[in-house]
Amino acid sequence: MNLCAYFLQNREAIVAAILRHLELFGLAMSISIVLGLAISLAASARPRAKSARAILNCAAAFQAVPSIAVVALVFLVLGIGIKPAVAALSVYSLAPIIFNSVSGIASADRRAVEAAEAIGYTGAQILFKVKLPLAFPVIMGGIRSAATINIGTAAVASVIGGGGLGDFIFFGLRLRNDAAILIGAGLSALLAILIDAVLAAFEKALTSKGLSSHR
Amino acid sequence: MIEFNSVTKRFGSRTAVNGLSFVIDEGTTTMLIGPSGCGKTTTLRMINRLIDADGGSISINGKMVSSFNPVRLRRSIGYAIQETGLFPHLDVFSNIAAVPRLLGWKEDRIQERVAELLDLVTLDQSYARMYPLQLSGGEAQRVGLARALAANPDILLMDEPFGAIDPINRAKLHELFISIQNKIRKTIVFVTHDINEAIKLGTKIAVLEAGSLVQYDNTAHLLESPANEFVERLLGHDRKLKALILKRAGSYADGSGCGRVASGASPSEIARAVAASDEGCAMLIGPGSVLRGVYTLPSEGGAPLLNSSPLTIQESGDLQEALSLMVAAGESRIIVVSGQDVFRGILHLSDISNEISSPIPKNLGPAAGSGVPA
Repeated sequence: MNLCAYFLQNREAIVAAILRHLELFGLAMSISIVLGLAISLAASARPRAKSARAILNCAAAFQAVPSIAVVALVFLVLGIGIKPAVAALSVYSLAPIIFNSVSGIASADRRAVEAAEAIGYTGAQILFKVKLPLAFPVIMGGIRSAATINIGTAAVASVIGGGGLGDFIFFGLRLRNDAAILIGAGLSALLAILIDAVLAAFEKALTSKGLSSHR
Repeated sequence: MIEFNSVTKRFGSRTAVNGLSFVIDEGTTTMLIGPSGCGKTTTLRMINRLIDADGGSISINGKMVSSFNPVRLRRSIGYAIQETGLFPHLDVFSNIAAVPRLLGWKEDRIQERVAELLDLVTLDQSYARMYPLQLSGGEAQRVGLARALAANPDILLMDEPFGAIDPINRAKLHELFISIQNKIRKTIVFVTHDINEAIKLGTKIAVLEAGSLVQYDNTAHLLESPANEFVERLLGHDRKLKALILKRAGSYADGSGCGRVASGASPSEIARAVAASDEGCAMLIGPGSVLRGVYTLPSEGGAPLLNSSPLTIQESGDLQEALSLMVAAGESRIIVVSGQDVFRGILHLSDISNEISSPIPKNLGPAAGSGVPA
């Protein structure tokens, strides 16, 4: 009951926080998808390039850094506000996108790639018409885990002035207001689940039927 | 015509192909064979510049391959590989259409061509909308062959295309390959490590060992006179038996040995025909020369008995197949037919033994299998 009352009392602030949360998420994801795919494609342009392996290792190592540490480090460089928050989120969600994209492209069906070269696909055609479509489910896997991580990290980014649902969580923690904590945490979780469902539907719609169909 | 002129290729310190010179004639199937690492695949891949030679030259119809743009060259040459290399994300139609699309063909021309190719590789048109993972190995390899032929190239390169297929389906693909090649007469260069495949499909066989050409000859001549011990070992002890694959049953069929009776003949006519024949048998031939059966005398004596499903082979069948059938059935003769049991003649075990040119006594009777040289 307490929760309902709290929700009704603060619904404007809650809606604003959800929108801010989505704004942080949307901006950061756009940046990390564009940047992540660009880096992955550049690294995969030449097959068996050493750069791909190095980038893969970096991305793997980076995924082990806690999100709060990244947020704190970005704060040291960029200070407080929504821009540092977006920057921190973008950087942090780059790793899963790059890791999955580079390894997905590298592990595209060897025989198909060999055949594409042998029947006269150019290097770019092999990358965009064969390797990328084959790696698409793996790339989407990276984007989906980046999205889930991003929603969670966006809550953490509240500590450097990012706003969003994190404000409710930290406010609740400071004042021992259980309703505020439940609202902030519950809605973040709900957002993460909803966004993942949307991305899953998107992935299913865009993945070639040939990659999932069997006899 | 593809001409290799002292072609050499090194990978680091290893020489993969060493001073290779030979000419591949137009419209023939040339098999490149040898043990792993002998340079056969490297040789194949140098033709469409997937690998560039270090020394010497390769020319197609007098034009150096090094003077072509590699991508354009590859689009003009068909290519089929082991495990097909089909694009799993594209359906069968788009897989076959790959090269025509690269070449910018109009969509209706592509549709027509894909339909034509599905017919050629004996796949139903409904396969067009299926995906590679839904196909069996044999079906996928048919699609691979159709893709290689899509833009109607003069040259077709095949790198162990049937290597990963089970023996039964491989035999079917071999038959299909032969019938397609009889229709289209492309210049085919075919890498294999299976000598039986080489003998069955090849007009000529090039034997490679450690990057050098050991022997390059017509299939029949290679089997007859291997150049050295290496080729002899590659061909195996049974090379004379293998050579039987090259001979059609139809060319050895004759009318000797058995009498003939028309359908409706009286028992006495049948008995006379059987008694008058060398081997105590008479063919029952119906209208249109259709074979209805064979009368033979039962061993316990009495009137001739009709066997209405005698041992037969198509005239296009080879002598090895005929021999196997005879051995399996314990018979010393097999009836050669064409189409739906149209009688062509009789093939005797002795005809085959003459071919192998080691004596097998005539009229072996039942259970003759043990008398056949291994």
